[in-house]
Parts: sequence; C-alpha cells; structure tokens
Amino acid sequence: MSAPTAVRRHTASWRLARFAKQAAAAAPFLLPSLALFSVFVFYPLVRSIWLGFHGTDPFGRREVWVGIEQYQDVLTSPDFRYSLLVTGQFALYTVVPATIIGLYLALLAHQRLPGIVIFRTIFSSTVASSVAVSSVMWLLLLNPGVGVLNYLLDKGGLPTASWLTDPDWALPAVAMTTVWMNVGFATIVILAGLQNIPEDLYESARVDGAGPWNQFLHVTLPGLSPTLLFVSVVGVIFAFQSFGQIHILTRGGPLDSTTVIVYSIYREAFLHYNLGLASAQAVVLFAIVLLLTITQFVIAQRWVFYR
Amino acid sequence: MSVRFEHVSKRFGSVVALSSFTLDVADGEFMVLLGPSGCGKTTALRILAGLEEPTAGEVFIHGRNVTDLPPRERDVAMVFQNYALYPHMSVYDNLAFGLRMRKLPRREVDRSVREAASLLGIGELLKRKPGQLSGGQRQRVALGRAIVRRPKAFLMDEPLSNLDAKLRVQTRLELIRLHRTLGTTVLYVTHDQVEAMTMGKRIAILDKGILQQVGPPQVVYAKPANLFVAEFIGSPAMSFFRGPVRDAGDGVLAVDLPTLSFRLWHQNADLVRRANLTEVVIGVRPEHIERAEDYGERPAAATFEAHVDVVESLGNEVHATLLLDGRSVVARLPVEATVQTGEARRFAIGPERLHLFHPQGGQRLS
Repeated sequence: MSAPTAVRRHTASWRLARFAKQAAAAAPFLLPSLALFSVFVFYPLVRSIWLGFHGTDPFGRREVWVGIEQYQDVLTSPDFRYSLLVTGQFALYTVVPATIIGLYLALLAHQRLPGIVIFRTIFSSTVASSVAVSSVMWLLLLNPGVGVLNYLLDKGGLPTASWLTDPDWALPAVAMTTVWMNVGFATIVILAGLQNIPEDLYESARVDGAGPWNQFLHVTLPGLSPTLLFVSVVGVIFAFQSFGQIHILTRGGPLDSTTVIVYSIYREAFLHYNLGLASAQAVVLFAIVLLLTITQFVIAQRWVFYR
Repeated sequence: MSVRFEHVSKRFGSVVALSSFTLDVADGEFMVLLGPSGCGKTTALRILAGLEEPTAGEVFIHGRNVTDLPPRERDVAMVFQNYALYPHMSVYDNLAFGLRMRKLPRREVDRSVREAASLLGIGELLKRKPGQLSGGQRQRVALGRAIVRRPKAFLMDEPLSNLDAKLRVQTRLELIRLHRTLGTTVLYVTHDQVEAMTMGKRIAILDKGILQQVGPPQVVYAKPANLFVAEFIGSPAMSFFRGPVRDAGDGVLAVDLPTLSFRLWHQNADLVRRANLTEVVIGVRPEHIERAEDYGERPAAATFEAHVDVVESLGNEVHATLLLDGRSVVARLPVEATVQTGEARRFAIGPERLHLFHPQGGQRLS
C-alpha cells in the first residue's frame, strides 16, 4: 500500500458550511429583487401551472383537480393551433421588418454629422410611446374613411383597403403598427451595438481594399451579430406576448384573423371565465417561447461572434 | 516605392495637427516618424494611407499624386497599434481578406497566405481566431496581413507598443530582418527613440505638427537641429545651460553661470561670434561629463564641483544625477569611475562635443 496522499480533501460537511456562509453573505443583496420576482413572476408562474391542473367554474372560483386534461386540450385543440399559427405569422411580420428597418435607421443615425442627435432621437422615439397610445393613433391612421393611409394611397392612385376589418389585411396591419412601435427599440439597441465596433477595423478594411458594401458585410454585420440576435430574440418574445395593440385595434377579429395566443388566453380567462384552461394555455405559451429562445441561441451559435 | 509629402497640412477644427509637412522617402527606405504624442506623426501616416484628407498639400506614391484617391487605390498596407484584426475571422481569413477584396484567384490567395504565414512563423495558427492568440502572435498576424499583399509601402503605427519589453526587442529585430528580406518602403511611427534609432535608416522628428529634423540616426544624435530634437533624442536627456556671453580675451568667450563657467574657443567661439549673440544655450550630453581626474590635463570647456544626488548603476555604466545650481544634471560614467551618493566631486566637460543653440528659437548654431 502506498502512503496516504498529502492532499487534504474537503469533506462534504466542510463544503456545506462554506456554502452556507457564502449564501448568508449573498442573501441581503439578493433579497430585494428575489422578493419582487417572487411576487410578480415566480408565484404567478407556479400558480398558473397549478391552475392548469384544475378546472374552474364560470366565476373563476371552483378549483377541481382535472390532471393534465386541460393541457391535452390545449395541445390538441385546433383553435389553439390556429392561434399559434397566427402568432407565428405575427412574429415573422414584426421581427424581420423591425430588425431590418432598425438596422437601416441605426446605420443612418451612426454617421458623424452635425445635428445627427436629432435624428437619433426621432428614430428611437417610438420606444417612448405606450402601446395603447400608439394603437389609438394607428386606429385613426388606418381608418378606412378618414384615415391618412387610405387618403395617401388614393392620392397616389393606389388601391385602398379596409385595413382592420378585412380578414386578409388585419394581421399585416396590426403587424405594421407593431413594427412601428418596435423600431425605436431596435434602433437604439443596434446603435449601441454599432458604437462598440472599433473604428480601426473599418480603417483596416478600407486599407485592405474593402468598399462600403464589403465593410458592412465583413465588419459591421459580424460586429453586430450579438446585437442582432438580442433584438430578434426579444422581438420574438414581444410578438408572442403582444396583446394591447390587438385588443385596441381588432379585438382578435375579423374572423379570428388576429387572435394571437395571448388574446386567446385573455378571452378564455376574462370573457369565458375559464381560468384553468387559460392558465394551461399560458403555460404552454411559456414553454413555446422558452423553446424558441433556446432554438434561436443554438442556431445563432454558428454565426454570432462574441468578442 | 518612393513616397513624398509636399507641404501637407491638416487641421482638426482649430487644432493644427500637421503644418506644411514635406518629406521624401526613397524606394525601399525605412523611415521613422518620431515625436511625442500629438506631434502629428500618426496624422501624417493616416494621410498617406488615405484615412484622413489633408487640409492642404499633396501626397505622392511612386511619383503618382494620390491625394484624392481612396485608401484601396493607394496599394499601401497598414499595421495598426491595436492590430485591428477582424475578430470573427480565422488567422487565414484575416490574411486573405485584402487579397480577396482585390479579387485574386483562390489558388493565388492560398499561396500568398501560406507564404506570408511561413515567413512570420504563424503557419500553425492559421485556423485560430485572433481571440485565441497571444499579443505577440496577434502582432505577427497584423504584420502578415500587411506583407501578404506585397504593397507599395508598409505604414506602421506604433506596432510594438502593445508588446512587453522583451518581445518588443525581439520583434524589433525581426522587423529589421523582414525589411531586409522584402526591401519594401516602410514608414514607421513611434514615440520610442530606441526603436527610431535602431530601426530607422532615417528619422523624421516632429513636434506640434512641424517637422524638426530629418536624417540618419547618428546625425540626428550628433547634430540635433534644435533644442527640441536635442532634448528629445538621447536617454538620459541632454542638459542645457543658458548664460550670457562675455569676451574673456585671447579669442576666448566665457559663459558664466552661478557655479560654473564655460570657456568657448576656436570653432565654438566662432559659431557664437558669427551669430552675434549676447546669450547662448549650451547643451551637454551625459556621456560628455567626466570625473575631473579621468578627464586629465587637457583644456576643458568647463570644470565644476557638484553634489552627487543619485547614483544609478546599470551594470555596464553608471548614471549619476548631479545637483548643479539647484537643478539636476545627469552624467554617464564608466563603471570604474566610482562616485558615491552625497559626496561633492569635481567634473569636467570637453570642448569638442558641446552643442550650441540660439537662445531665441533654439536653432543649432552652425
């Protein structure tokens, strides 16, 4: 037998004691945010999952254990699948244009010109207007009779539409207003991302012979990749959580063409008073968003470059 | 290829970064632009690269006026202080980028990249990203990116300043060898006079946007054109003594200071007389101050007694800081010449190596 090694191994109890000591030190710093998160995030989340396992009476009170029945209902219901499809479309219509327009505006506003701050402010101003206010504004702009949009289309000799009452146009119209609302946020974030790209990379590329397009392709886009990932992930989450503009502009109609998941949850919970089913939907939505976000991160690993 | 700056000026708002800068760099020459920060050396380099537009003046590369050409049409390569490697690209792609931008055939790109990589000994790193490299390796990649294109000139902006002392010395040697191998014109910006002295075939010294002197390192050191160059070049720095000129008879001029008196004769006196000065600035390099006993019986320009304040032994020589008229004067002594901190000693300055400058404007008397 060889002699026992000189290395002292820490015992399990020693490690536990050390952890307890560190946790005690960390607790005062974590408690305030933990308390807030518990009240507004963790408890509602747990409660939703719990509610999903319970049926409710029409007044939203009687709680009877029904097992996974409601989750099964949600996953097999054609209505839910339909609203998932609508939400997916809505996400596509909002995230892609908002990111591209935000990128374009950020590139414009990134120029070093006198007075550019004014444009930066204008381009990012929509971030400061609430969903409700923006929606009401767009309700007027999109009005088929007195709305400015139809007026301009008509002046330009283009066909007009009943934007919010035509089942074919309602979702794109709501998406358009949402793009307008999200562009400000995208612009701000992308502008910040642009400012993090070192100037000498551009200079190096210029000396290497790259024109504006190649500089954009080989310096700007790679440098912005983490920012663009962030903007698109947050955009998808926003899209899946959208409610205000739909509630104000279309109430899920016409013919359910704008019934996104959250609107469907709202309807189930507060119009049909079926809290259990609504909770089950909400939990499924949570799972979907989580899955989507993870997928985006996995896909992005290939082309996102973190310095 | 040759490079020529012709009365190039650059103003940023009210700040004059470069003022009527004229410089000829011969084909294949290693030219160092030297000066303190803010002297305009980097601005000159950036104007040559096309990254800045001059406010006035013209720039020529190989006889062609490139003042209005964008960087990519000038066919120069630049090594940046922070290397500016494309962080998302592998070393290979970093090296290949400039060639691809010039639409070279794939096979030729590959050959050039591998050739440059082997020349710099970074062949094993081609698949790595810059983030996975050490500072020295990044520096090599930055150099590789410059040489791979076989440009008309290399522009280097303090390329060694981010390396540690040992690596800097090593890379300095490699740059000298590389220049010998490739024979390409180099414009090298630095604030480090050791780099300038060791690498430059000629040195251009700038201050406040104005070219002070151009010449081979030895000439700049031995005959600084003015007070700025005299003070900037050489470490420890030259000491200066300003005093009134008095005729001491027998063709000798005397410059009297509180604790020492310089005696100028022959050439030194002629220079002062010709300039018709009543006051003069005398510069003395540390190595020209000797212990009086070592100096011997030869006639000295000045002998004086000074308090030895600090003694720094460098192993091969000793730097003694002397207190003279309430200020510090450094003497560079051989190791055998023992001096003790705190003692008062006699020193002597020989007449041959005095530097005489005009009291106004600071030009060297000649």
